[in-house]
Amino acid sequence: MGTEQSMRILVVDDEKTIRRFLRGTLVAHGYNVFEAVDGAEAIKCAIYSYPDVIILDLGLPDMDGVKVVQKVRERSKIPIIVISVRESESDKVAALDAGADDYLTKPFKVGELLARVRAVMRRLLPESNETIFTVGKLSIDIGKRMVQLKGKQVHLTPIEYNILKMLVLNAGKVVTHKHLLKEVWNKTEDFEGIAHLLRVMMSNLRNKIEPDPNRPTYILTEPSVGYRLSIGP
Amino acid sequence: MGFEIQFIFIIIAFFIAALIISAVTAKISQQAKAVAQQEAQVTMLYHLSKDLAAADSFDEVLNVIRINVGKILDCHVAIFLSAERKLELKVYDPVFPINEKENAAALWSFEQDAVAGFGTEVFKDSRAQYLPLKTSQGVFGVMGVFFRSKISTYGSTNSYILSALVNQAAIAIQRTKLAEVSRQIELMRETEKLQTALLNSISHDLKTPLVSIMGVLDNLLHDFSALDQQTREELLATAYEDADHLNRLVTNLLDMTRLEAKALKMHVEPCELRDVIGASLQPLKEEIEKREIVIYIPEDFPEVTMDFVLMMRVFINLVDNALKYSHKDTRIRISAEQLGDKIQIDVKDEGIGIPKEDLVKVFDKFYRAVNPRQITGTGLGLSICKGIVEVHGGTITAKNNAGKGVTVSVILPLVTQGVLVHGH
Repeated sequence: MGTEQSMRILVVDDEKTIRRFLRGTLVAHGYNVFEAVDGAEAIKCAIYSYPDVIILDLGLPDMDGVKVVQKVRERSKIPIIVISVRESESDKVAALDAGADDYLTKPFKVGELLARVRAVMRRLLPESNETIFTVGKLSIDIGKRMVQLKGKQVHLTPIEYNILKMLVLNAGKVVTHKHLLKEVWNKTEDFEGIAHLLRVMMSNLRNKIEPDPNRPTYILTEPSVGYRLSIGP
Repeated sequence: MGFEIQFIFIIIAFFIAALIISAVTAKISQQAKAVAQQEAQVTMLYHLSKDLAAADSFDEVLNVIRINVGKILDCHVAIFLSAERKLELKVYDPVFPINEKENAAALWSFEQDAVAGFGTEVFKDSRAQYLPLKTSQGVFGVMGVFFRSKISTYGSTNSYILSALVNQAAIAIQRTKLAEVSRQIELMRETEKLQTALLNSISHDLKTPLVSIMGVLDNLLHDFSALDQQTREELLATAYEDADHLNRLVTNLLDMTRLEAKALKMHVEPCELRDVIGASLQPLKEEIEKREIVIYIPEDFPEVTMDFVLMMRVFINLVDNALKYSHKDTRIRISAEQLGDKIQIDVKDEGIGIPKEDLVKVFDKFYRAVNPRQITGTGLGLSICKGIVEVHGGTITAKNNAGKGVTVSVILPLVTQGVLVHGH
């Protein structure tokens, strides 16, 4: 992707080896990289150096990574991908609620990192006229409200379609339960009451579009967080 | 006259005979009484040794001695034992006299290895008598006896029995003490063995992948240009595989530590079981790509409250085990059924199975039933599963299949007790 050449990524991590590894990897894939070692520096860089994407470690020495997300969000909509170790799973949800776009659990594969970066950057690209999304044997035409599996049309209920549409619009990115409940059911509270409905609808949707609904490959579950539409193998 | 004298002789003879008979009878009756008393004491001694044999703790042995000796000699008993150069009162009857004077007699008896107190020449004024408890290894305590009726009960026969009882008590106490010490030594040895096994297991399992990873990196760092493309790729693939393995080991070790420290935070929420299992297979997708995995969950299966992430750890470990301990051509079957207010999930493989005597032990920490070198693991997986299932109020068991392999069954309550926390 030609546009990636000029993309600038801010890497925030207090561990030197991780910064070095991220820099090497991202530079090799054509991104410009600059670094911050703590929360204060990260906020300053985020506001004054205009990065296109921030990769933010949650375990920073001077302040909580979630706080960094909040501070940055007060001033800017720069896509933020948080990285955390498994011990701080709940921080990950807090970071997403605070406005982070996606997350990665350490250790991760380079492929996963690049996919996340591409997914959040999609948002930065000018609206394309392309409204057909394809993954594997599944294709969704947002313009025509049409879903096809192996070339055969799949009939979805309006709610199932809306769920799938939300996932397609955020393809490759995690979509939280909260986000889905808000967008599909227009709910801002009493998530608990309707969360069951979301699980049932998701199950029905998977029965219709997944080759093996027991082992979904298109709509992946992000445990305790939400769902993610896969954007490739 | 001769007749009269004859009578007198007869009378005298009768008298003598009567005297003899009466003396003999008295002696016999005395002997009978003594025998009866001895018999009673033998019976009581028998009870004492029987009770001593049944006593399974040190304190119990002391109490058995206190009660039985009291019964046999109709007295009140106190037992003092030496502890760190001091004489300590261990057990005593409520009426046993306890004061400084009595203690002094007891201490003298202990230090001089001689009987003291009531009925002896030393500490005559003491109300109780003190007898050293000793074995061939020396004096280790004192038994105090306080008689209910001072004169009548205390006699030479009783003195003889008393010393026999003290001997028996001394032997019993010493034996129990030794048994306790050897049990502690055994326990220490077991703990040490476990720790050594644990350290060996962990260091072996942590070091092995590191050896490969460092070797590969060193190789590439120094001989990069000497290696052809294919070799480089192979080396890197090996290193990656080992790093991945190391990551799983560390994850399991951390899980175990958290389970043990009771630091696992539960986020219980209603879950669709199919989703939990599907998500658990996701991290294993490379391993299961070439395997046949059958999942059977009934269509109308109810939602189950559980911690999604923790329960994933259970299924990841169970499926990972099933994959490791079975041939790649065999099938793995995951099935679920509802049993009233519980659910049962079975993970069944067609692998090498578990020896019958190990079916329970496999859930112990660091225990590995079959330990072939080519199958790596820490023996932590199943104990983590057990820990997680149990915090959900469930159970986990393993059984060998009629044909081949093992079925691990997880039984969970439909609704786990606890606070419902959604998401976070």
